[in-house]
Amino acid sequence: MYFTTPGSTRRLARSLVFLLVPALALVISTPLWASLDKLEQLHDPVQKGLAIAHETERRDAGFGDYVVEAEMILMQNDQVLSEREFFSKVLEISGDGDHSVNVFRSPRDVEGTAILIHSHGLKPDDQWLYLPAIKRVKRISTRSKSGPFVGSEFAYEDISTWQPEKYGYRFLKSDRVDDVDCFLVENTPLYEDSGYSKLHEWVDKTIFRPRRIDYFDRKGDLLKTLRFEDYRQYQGQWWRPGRMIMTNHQTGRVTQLLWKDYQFATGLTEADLAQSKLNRLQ
Amino acid sequence: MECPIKPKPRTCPLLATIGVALLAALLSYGVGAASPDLELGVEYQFFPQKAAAGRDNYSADQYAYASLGWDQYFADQRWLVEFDGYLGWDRHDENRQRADLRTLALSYYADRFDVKIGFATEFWGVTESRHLVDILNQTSVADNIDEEVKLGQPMLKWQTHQDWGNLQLFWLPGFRERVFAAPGARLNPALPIDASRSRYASGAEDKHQDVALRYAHTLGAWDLGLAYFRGTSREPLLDPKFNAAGELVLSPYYEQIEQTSLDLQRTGAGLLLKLEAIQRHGSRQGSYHALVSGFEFTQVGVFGSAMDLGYIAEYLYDQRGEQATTTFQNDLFLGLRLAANNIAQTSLLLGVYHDRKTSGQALRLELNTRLRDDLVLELEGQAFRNLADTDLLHGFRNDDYLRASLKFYF
Repeated sequence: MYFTTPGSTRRLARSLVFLLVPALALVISTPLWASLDKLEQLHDPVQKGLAIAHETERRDAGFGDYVVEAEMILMQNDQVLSEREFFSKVLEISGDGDHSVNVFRSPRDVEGTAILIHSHGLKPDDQWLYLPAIKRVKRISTRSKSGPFVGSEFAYEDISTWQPEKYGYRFLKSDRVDDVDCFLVENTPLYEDSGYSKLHEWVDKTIFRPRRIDYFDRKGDLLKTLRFEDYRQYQGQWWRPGRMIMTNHQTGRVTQLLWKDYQFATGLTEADLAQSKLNRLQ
Repeated sequence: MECPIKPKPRTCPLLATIGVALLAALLSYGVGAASPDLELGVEYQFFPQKAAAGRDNYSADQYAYASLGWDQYFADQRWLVEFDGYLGWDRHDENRQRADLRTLALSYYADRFDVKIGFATEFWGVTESRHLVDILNQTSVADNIDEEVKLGQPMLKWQTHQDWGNLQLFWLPGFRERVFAAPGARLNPALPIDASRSRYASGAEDKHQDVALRYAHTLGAWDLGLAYFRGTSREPLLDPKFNAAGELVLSPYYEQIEQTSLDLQRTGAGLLLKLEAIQRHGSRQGSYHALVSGFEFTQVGVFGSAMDLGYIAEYLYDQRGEQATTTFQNDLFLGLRLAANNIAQTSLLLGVYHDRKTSGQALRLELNTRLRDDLVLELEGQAFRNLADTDLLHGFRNDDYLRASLKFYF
């Protein structure tokens, strides 16, 4: 092929890009009802459950990174027991689980304490703890997924980043949560050391985000219900809740998790969420 | 707050001045400045046994402290000023009565490296029973015999974060002497320590300029640290001498040493394997090595609850044997750590150091719980059993104690 000089290859590549970009844009901007329509046509519950999970992932892929402030209110019988404030930084990692860090602002004795998580789907996550009082970074074991997060009704596994491969899926039925049309899907944890036998998740048919999750303990009894409220869309794309309310049906305790000041595309890099940077995550 | 403290020789007036000036600068920075964090603490310490002969025979001690911390970033988080000042008052131990600048440092963060200058604390290591490789900061054993209370170290630190790991270089232009309990106070060695008679191997004494280098990297489940230090040993030899009054005292002697160290941790599902090892040259006791190694296994959700229970076992070795400047020359540490995972985030540690040769034992209890969101209760207990006359802890034999502290945060 004597005409394939390097220059012409480049030109060819460039024209291919010009062709591909609009094609890709067309695919991405495919109306939402199209994918929903396709999903509704699936009959096999396992296939449908998985397809819903993949659509959920596809809709949120590409968010890049975000930073958010969180307030946790631990309650029993409408009485506040304790409060915690922290901020989170989350970085999307292509081909692997997200990297995230939670840095506490209160209670004051744990101010500056940071938990860094590099999640890896089905493989155990990597986790580091920074203790500011003694300036010590501790690599910690990730066994206690089912344990409570800072004494709240959220377990570590409830706040860790969701990835499709972490669960087996089965579509149960179409249902409504507060007049919002949802798919009700049964999720079975596939990772080790989960505290749950299964989850029932109501996925919003419009925005493909959870509206409600019921958690069933290892014996199969209903343990907790999590409700997602005040969804807002950021950058015209990414839906995030403003409030999450976890009710423990067995103890009567409630934890409210309020999220505020979401900022996307902050320019966070992998080097920023590294163990060696834990002491300056402010 | 009126401060009952008398200036001590080790309180450096220059540093205090710099601290106040910097605080004033931060205050005048005004809008956008982070608020300072004030912590006040009171401690009550109870000694059930009669003190050894020659010691003040008090059965209770009271201690109070105030600490003020302030971190302020400038210029798009490129610059950081850190301040942590501390004032302590003790009823019986005048060596705990002091003001200290634990941190007064300025940092600059570039993309691939950062630099810090000032008084700061650096922690190295992985093991629980002893921090063998942690060498940069001096310790106050007057504040706690667990050797975890550190003094700020003047330093210039440069570090870089690369794909191949994290590299740190330190220039340490000054030295601070170890703080021991005052003569006559409880928790002292068998003979009183006369810190006014400290001697140095280096003619530069506490002006000797030390250097250190550390490389750390994470490879999958493994975390590795390699370090080198050259300078004044933080841990003095204690030589018996006669003082001017003709009394036998222990005189601290600070050697010039070279130390290379390794710290290693493998993190598995529930199981942590840990190793710290050092090789030290330059000591008049000759070159020697020492290590601490063991594991921590955590069982989650014990007794059908949300609690985690950790089992810790570590072996402590020092090649110098009976000549060692540490009591941990051939010891076993066994510990239980309970994390209640409750709202108060209660944690409990029970541990015992067991000397494999003399069967001497040091038992330890640590309990930490939050009473309110701004109030923390700590209990700490220490008991000694079967201490041989030759044991370095022999002076502690009548000093079992229980200490309760309340920490208020403002």
